[in-house]
Amino acid sequence: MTISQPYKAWVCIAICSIMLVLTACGSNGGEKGTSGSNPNASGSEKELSGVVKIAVLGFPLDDGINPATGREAKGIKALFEPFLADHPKLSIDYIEVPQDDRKAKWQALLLSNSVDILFLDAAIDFYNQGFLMPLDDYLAKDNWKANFMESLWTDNERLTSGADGKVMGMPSGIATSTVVYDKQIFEDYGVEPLSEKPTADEILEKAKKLTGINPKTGQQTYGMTYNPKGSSHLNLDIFSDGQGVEYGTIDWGNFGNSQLNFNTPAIKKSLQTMIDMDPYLPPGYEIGRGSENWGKESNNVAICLWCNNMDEVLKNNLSDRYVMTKGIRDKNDKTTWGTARVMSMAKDSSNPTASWEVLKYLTGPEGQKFMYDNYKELPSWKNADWVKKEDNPYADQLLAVVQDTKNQLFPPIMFSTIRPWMADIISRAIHGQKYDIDSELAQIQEKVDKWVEEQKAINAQKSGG
Amino acid sequence: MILKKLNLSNKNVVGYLFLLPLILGVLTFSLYPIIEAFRISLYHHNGVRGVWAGLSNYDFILHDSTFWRALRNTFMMGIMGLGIGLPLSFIVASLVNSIVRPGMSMLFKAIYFLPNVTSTIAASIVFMLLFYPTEKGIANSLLNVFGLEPLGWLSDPRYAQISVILMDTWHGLGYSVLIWLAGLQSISRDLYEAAEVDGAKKLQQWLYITIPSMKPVIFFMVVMGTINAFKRFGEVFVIGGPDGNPGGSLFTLMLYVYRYGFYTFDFGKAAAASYIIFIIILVFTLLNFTAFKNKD
Repeated sequence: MTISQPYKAWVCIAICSIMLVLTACGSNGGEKGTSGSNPNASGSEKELSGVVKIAVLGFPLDDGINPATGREAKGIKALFEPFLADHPKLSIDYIEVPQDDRKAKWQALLLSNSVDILFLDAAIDFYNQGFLMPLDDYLAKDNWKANFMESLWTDNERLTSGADGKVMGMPSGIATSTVVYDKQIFEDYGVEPLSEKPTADEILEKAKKLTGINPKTGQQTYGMTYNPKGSSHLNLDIFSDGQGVEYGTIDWGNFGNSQLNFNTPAIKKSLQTMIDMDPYLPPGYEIGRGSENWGKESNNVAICLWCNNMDEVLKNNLSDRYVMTKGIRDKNDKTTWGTARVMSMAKDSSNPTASWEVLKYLTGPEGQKFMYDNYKELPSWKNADWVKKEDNPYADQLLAVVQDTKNQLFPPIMFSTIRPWMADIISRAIHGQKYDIDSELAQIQEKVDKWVEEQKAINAQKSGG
Repeated sequence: MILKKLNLSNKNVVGYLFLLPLILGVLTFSLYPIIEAFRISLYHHNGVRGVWAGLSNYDFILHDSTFWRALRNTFMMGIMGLGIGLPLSFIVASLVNSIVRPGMSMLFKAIYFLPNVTSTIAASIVFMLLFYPTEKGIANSLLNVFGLEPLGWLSDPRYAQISVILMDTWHGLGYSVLIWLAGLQSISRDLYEAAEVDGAKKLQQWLYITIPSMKPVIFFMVVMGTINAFKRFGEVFVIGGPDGNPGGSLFTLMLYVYRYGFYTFDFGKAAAASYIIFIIILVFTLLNFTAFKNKD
């Protein structure tokens, strides 16, 4: 069969077009198992120009020594060197945000339209004020969302708005905590080690057995410790008979519509558990004392609740002795809390296309690997093949806690009013001072109701104004 | 013309020009924040944006049992601090002042002032070890020598306040001693010589010459001590965190302000609390003024 000359040209064009389409749709095969797009294609083909302004919190801009590890670490500017080399017409302005006044600084930057990308600790407040760009369209366009652990998107404070379901920010390094135990003390007492996914009851039962005089060393040991300054609210979740704490619902778009009830029998029981477990805790734990030797040879505390910093253990090469669990689980096999640092884009960004590419780079494999290499941050990126067991023997466990999290969040009044009161009543109870859980819980609930009313009034005025 | 109207000579203008940077600094960094803080206290404010609240922040604070608890703690610690710190530093200053050899006097001044150059944070961390709640702590080892049970110095709500005051007294003693010494050295030697001629003993000289002559310094120390007592923050924050643990016994007014300002970013309540504290300090200062004026 012969094809005439004019048809030959059309056939050639058609074959070339099909091949072009097939090539564009094809995968490079480098991201096995990822349903998201090829991360290496993050904007490198796009011609980006102009300026992107990034407000950086918690990381140095220039190279220096990482105070946590004592090793040299590169600053954020170094992270962007390859990116800027690919995009010579683009420049990045860095704004350092001080830890203390961070919220005021972010708000001022957003109000004055002086920022494109922000390192935030939570996005909800600024999202509710209409300052942050919903990222769903960008994520869908680049098929990007599936590259991150699914569980993270349940965080309504940082990543996904509970009000409209839109993505408020992108996840970076993970933040979580779990249960760690000293295997040596368990062996000394002849107590079975904690299971990989222990329940609160198992921890309490074993902590009781491990409090006393160590039969091998003759030293006083304590069953467990935790830091009430930072984590007593999380105990409410684990001491709820495996049901998780139930206090009603939070409307993250308008706190005034929240239905909160902290005066419940379950919360009362959790508080009583925290009081009753005092004998298994070292003296002075309320002010962060009693576990100074944690991570050392001379440790005398068997279990650490809500631990995440294993620097001391790794420094002393004791990772075989200190075992990390995959988190306390509720009846649905879910852990309490696991999230990620969040980075968001300003809604009024003057350079949204470039900002999105910068945000992708920052939270994508290049950015997360940089944070891992320099600051040992574990990634929220699903296929993070750069994480090595030699670097961090606890990485698998921490990532498992985040993967299975339900993200039990609390309203802001937890931190200004409820948690301080919890620390107060527990401390009074264990030191034999006067306390009355029933009446004090009722008083706290009154404060919560008042706070909700106040939020309602604020929101009414905002929408009225 | 304008200068004439303002009754100023050229010389005055030059003087005011020299003062201008300072005046501008005071207006910008002191007066403006004071006025702005009052404005913010009338709003539900997150630091940059606010919704009008009227006096509701003040109403909230005055009806908040936590605020009254913080005030009680601050007040108790203030009384203990002044009650122990002022007499002790005055006695030490009087003893140092009585040293005849100047070299020795300087040595003691340096020794007493040494703790003052350490930061509050460092001092707090050291005292947390010193006051460790088991027999391993140095303070408890001493108690053990006398056959006494170990105390939860900083971890037991019953002793935490006094333990912090002891630390604070150690930390601030040198500064107080220097102020007292400046006052003591300004008393004319003639008065003591005349008293000696009249047969007055050392204790009588101290009671009837030194103390009355030191009245302006005592007034200064009481006023400053009162103000500083209401500003207590660093050491209680390091030891007890924002909750003022143990048992909220170290929860002071400044922690109350801090908690609202920097934990929940409710700057309206934080500013309102600051103004209430300002009024309390003002009342105490006026009371001090009245008390000392009456004695005159």
